[in-house]
Amino acid sequence: MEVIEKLKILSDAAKYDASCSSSGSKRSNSNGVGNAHYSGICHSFTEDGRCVSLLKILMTNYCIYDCKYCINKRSNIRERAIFTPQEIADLTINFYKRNYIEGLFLSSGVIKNPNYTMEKIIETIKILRNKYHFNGYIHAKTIPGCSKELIDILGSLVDRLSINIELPSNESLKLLAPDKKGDSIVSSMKYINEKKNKNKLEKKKEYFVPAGQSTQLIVGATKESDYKILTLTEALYKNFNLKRVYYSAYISVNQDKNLPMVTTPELKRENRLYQADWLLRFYGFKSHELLDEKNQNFNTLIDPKLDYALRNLDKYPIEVSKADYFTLLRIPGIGITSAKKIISTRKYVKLDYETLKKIGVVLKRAKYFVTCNGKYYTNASNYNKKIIYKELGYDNIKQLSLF
Amino acid sequence: MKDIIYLYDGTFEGFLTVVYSVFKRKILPKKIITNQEYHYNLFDKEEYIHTDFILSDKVFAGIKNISEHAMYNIFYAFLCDKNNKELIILDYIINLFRFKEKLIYMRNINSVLDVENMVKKVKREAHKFKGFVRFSKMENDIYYAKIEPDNDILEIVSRHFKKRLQNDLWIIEDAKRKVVSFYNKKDFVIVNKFSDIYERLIKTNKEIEYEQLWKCFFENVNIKERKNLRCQRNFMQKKYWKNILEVTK
Ligand code: SF4
Repeated sequence: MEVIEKLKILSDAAKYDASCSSSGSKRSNSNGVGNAHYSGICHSFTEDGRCVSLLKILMTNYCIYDCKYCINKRSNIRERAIFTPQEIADLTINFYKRNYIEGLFLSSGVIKNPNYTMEKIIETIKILRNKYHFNGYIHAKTIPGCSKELIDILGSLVDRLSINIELPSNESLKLLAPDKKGDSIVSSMKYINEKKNKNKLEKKKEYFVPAGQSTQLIVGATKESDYKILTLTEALYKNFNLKRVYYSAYISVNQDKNLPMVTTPELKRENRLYQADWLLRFYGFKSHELLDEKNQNFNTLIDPKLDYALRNLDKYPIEVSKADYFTLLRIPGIGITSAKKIISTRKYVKLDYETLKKIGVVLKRAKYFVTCNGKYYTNASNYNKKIIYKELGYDNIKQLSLF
Repeated sequence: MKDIIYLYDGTFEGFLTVVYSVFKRKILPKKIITNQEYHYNLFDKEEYIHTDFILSDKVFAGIKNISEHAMYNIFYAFLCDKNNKELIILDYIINLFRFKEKLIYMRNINSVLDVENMVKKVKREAHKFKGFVRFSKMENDIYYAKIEPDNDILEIVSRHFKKRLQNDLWIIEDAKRKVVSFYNKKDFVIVNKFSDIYERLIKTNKEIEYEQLWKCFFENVNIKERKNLRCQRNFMQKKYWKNILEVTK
């Protein structure tokens, strides 16, 4: 089979993985090819609006497993292909030198057994790192159930490792991916994290997964609520220091009695989860502040932070000339850039609404939730729950979300 | 008396020399503009300031002495394509000597905000181009790319590729400004486009194969059910497409 045929099949088969990030690693170029840029670089954008940063492909779409939600499952009849390690290495290095990509994201179906598959992935990356002296970004999948020794080797070659949990609970996993054991996924994440921590403690300089681990959760294939997903996410960040959790709105690729038929993916829901994830990682929010047993799912009409603010009006208005960084971040409409600017500006300049506007703070929403030097925004009425609800259309929203 | 207009050669050093003259003569010009852009007329009094590296170094050192951060801002802002950038930066420098390093955060002064926004614009575009540059491998193992950015980011982009592709020969042409960056495996130089050697570079057959492979990947990694052209164009504006292989028609 021609390389272009393989590429067609194996990039198509890899596209459902949401991860594309090339950030978090500072690999410098010591007389080889390439380096890793700490903040990551997007090289292109496909028609679905997603960033293309890495050559995202499967080594093969043959698989001995039969996960019900997966297009590559054993029982599907479809065109299959296998790249040789050399072919992948050549594609990567040639794409990289033309600046098409930032590096490689290599995943694979499981052939023969998990260890054999891992060995092939390792062989590929060894060609890149040792023969071509490639210092660009490499993200590889850990194959669930492979040996720890192989994780050690792969971890020393790549920038990021990921293992996809996909289904947010053990029950769902049992139902839809009976070959994959939740335990083996968790134990390899745990192993990688502990090894990283140990290296850090012992101040070892060796490369081991410098850009950390990530995972992906499928949204909408199973019945888990947003709350359940978000608490899982929170635990993953806390217990395993994951760098990123990706969410992928489910699209039906197979028919199965245990799976819903979804032709339009729940993109809004996916988006809300990303927003909430962001609030956990950078804004100091806890999952139970955003959702709880009673409110298990995000409001699709307003974003999680505004929703939080409207449910907690007693904690507002916030005084912008005094509030600390994380308190500022709780103001709807104020993000990281605005919060930082407010803090650095107010040291030297007395803040008023004019200045806030000038430095780029958008007051459209924020104005209901702040005071500036004791003054509530002049165009709005006094701080009053009813008025805020009305102005922001929250009354209608509340009614709507009852259905 | 007629308002004075200072003309200079468009280089950063040239601009700093103008700044020196302003401080020396204590007269604010009506405009500072490159001699290429300037149209002579009867009403203005113009004066060409010759770039003087000793004087520009003096200004550079003076600014850096007060604040490295401010120097960095001034350098980046100067690369911006904003109209009248010279007067804005001049105002910034005058204020810098008055308020010292805290000026950077005194965003109630217009030129401080303007400079901050100009820096942001330049950095943002430079970052984008670290991704959007597309090299073609030509005969004799030369990698060639053409860009047409809004701002003058060729030097920033060249510094990036000097690290990344240190063992390859490459050429990046800014077709808008008609300047070219040549890298010889040691360092790069940026010069005015002086001939058409790069028009004479020849693409190999192998190259066309790789272009097809890349386009094939680009098509297939897209998820049709998630089509969102607006989002695509937000991140990768149409104005850049003609030099980005996979989206040029
Ligand atoms: S192991 Fe991976 S590739 Fe194989 S069927 Fe399951 S999800 Fe698909």
